[in-house]
Amino acid sequence: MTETLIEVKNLQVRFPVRSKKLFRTETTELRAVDGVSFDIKRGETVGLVGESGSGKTTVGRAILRAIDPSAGEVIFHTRNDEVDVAHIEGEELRKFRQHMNLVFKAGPVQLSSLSGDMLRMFRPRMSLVFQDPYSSLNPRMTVRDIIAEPLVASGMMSNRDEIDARVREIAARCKLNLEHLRRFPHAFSGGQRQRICIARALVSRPDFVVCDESVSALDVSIQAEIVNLLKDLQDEMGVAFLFIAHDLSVVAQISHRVAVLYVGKFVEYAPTEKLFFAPRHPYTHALLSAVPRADPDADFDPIKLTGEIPNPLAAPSGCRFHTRCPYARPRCSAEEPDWRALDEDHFVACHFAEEFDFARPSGH
Amino acid sequence: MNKMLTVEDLTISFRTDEGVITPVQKVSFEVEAGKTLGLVGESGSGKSVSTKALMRLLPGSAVLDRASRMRYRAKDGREIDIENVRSTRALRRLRGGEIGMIFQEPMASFSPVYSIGNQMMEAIRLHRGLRGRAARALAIEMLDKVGISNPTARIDQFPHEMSGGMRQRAMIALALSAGPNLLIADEPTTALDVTIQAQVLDLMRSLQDELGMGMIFITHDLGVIAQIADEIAVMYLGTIVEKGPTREVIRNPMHPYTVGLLEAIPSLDRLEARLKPVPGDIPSPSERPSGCAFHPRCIQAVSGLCDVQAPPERAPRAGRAVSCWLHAEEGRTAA
Repeated sequence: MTETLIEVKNLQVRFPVRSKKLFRTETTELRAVDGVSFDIKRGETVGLVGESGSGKTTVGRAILRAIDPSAGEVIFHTRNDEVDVAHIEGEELRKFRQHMNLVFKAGPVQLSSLSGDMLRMFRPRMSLVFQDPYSSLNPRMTVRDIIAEPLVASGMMSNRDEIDARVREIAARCKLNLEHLRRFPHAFSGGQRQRICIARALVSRPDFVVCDESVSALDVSIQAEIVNLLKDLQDEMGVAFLFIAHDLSVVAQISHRVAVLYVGKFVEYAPTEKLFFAPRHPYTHALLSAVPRADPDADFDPIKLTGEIPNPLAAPSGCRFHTRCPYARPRCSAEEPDWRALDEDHFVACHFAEEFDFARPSGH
Repeated sequence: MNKMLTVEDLTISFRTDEGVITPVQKVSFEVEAGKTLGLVGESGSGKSVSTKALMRLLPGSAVLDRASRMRYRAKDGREIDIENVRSTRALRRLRGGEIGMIFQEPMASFSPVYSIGNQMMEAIRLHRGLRGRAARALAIEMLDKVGISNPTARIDQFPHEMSGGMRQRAMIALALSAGPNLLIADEPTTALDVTIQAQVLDLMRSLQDELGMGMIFITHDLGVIAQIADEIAVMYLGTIVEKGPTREVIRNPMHPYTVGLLEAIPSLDRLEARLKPVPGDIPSPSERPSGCAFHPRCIQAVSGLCDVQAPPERAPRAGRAVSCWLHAEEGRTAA
């Protein structure tokens, strides 16, 4: 887990917001993601947490190029695939040549500058699992066709038998009953549907999958099962996940490292253990304190954050959290804190991080 | 004991294209004044349907079994049998004024074309008999109470002008402005961020202390339940499998389903290698298993018993009840 897969450097996503005034239209910019830098290693799960409107989903989509970043870089480090060059021909050979071009000439691929065909060719290497397994499956396609679609759409495979074999293999890994492949999605429960979505995301054997609130809509008993499945698939296939969720306890169970996002910027990024047991940013600490524990004897004394999450159209000056931070000082509203390393793997954006000791005993 | 609501053998069926399904079967529970009953269960367990029956909000295709009893003590001390209320007037008085409800999705329960204040003042006019300035003053007071800053300006805003957390608090203010005696909160914090959720829970607790309301709090989040409920009832496929004081049920769960639910929750205090899911999927209500509905997913199921006959409800200790064959014997010797 030392090989870097994705490098995100100063990623920015801005959306134009038009507001109609009496005689003119004013255009302002909404900075949904405002300069985010981090890396994801091969086979690693990075958790992304934050309140609604913090830009979690936008980060995920921008890395996948489902929306175009306004500035910054997303670099995808490819690894040479073993391809039996002797046995491909025609269209596939042409694609392969392009692919080779991409892999060998460019070295690491600057994802943020790919376009058109090149981007389409790159798509099977990355994938997405959505939140709602009910609305993300086409009710008029069979499960087999749903799972096969990424292979067909990207032109990765065209031979029916080959596709069938691949679909059956991934369906078995996702613990779907192979008899059910001919059925339509309506016949399945929420947990089974989410397994279909995961199979679809993994069928092209991607290196990287974004799970956007993928277990949030599921019942607790099923949620645990899907989290375990994702972990198993990661061990077997070496896929890296960006796991976006607002539920901190689920993120704690699945992630190797966790990033906390607040109004379009990272406030803290550290290995799970450090972030959850020794956070350094007051916002991370407040978030953790607000999670209700299923333990009637546990102290439940959430840190009261005054006010609402700020409007990203009018982000506060200096540190964006200063309007709600219980420890805010004059410097916080005047000067924006740097994104800096406290030690080799613990990053934080707070002027006074060294002064805070939010550590709590770890119970394992 | 100061019971304000007693529900006995509530059974609700629906006529559907696939035949009659019964999402709620012989559910019994009680709510005490000033206390909170937490109703826990996964989707399809019948939590929401049972509470809709209390408001008489079931759709036309629903059939209430004749044996169902819902006895409610009104503010003026009268006993009302909710299942027998016939007149529209009486129903109107019951809904909102006596029993208030907070829904999961505040955007869906506010009308988008009237201002928040307009909708609150309507409830106040109907249930409190106040008009004009007095109604507006009370609405502002309620908004202030639920922690909405600058209520005199916010009252004239429309639901879409508010953020999710603020809308949910306005929803609570709307339900409370009618002055209900019993509040049913159906997943009121599920759609909210943890920070806002903590604020809303805190608010509901302090308002309850202040107003002495009884509360039914529906959620699938056992963490939330542990913080807010005095008593818990755990539902699975339309029946209550276990009930008792919150602390005891969480510390010492008796039904295998409650045990499974508690073990499946990821914890922030222990980073485990693996979570423990409850095996299997929740069956659809039209394919309700025979005997104990939980037996296909239960690791301790006894074949020839659990899959044949539904277990009776036993009270192993005062205040506790469990419907499971594993505890049926204990109950008998204790009784």
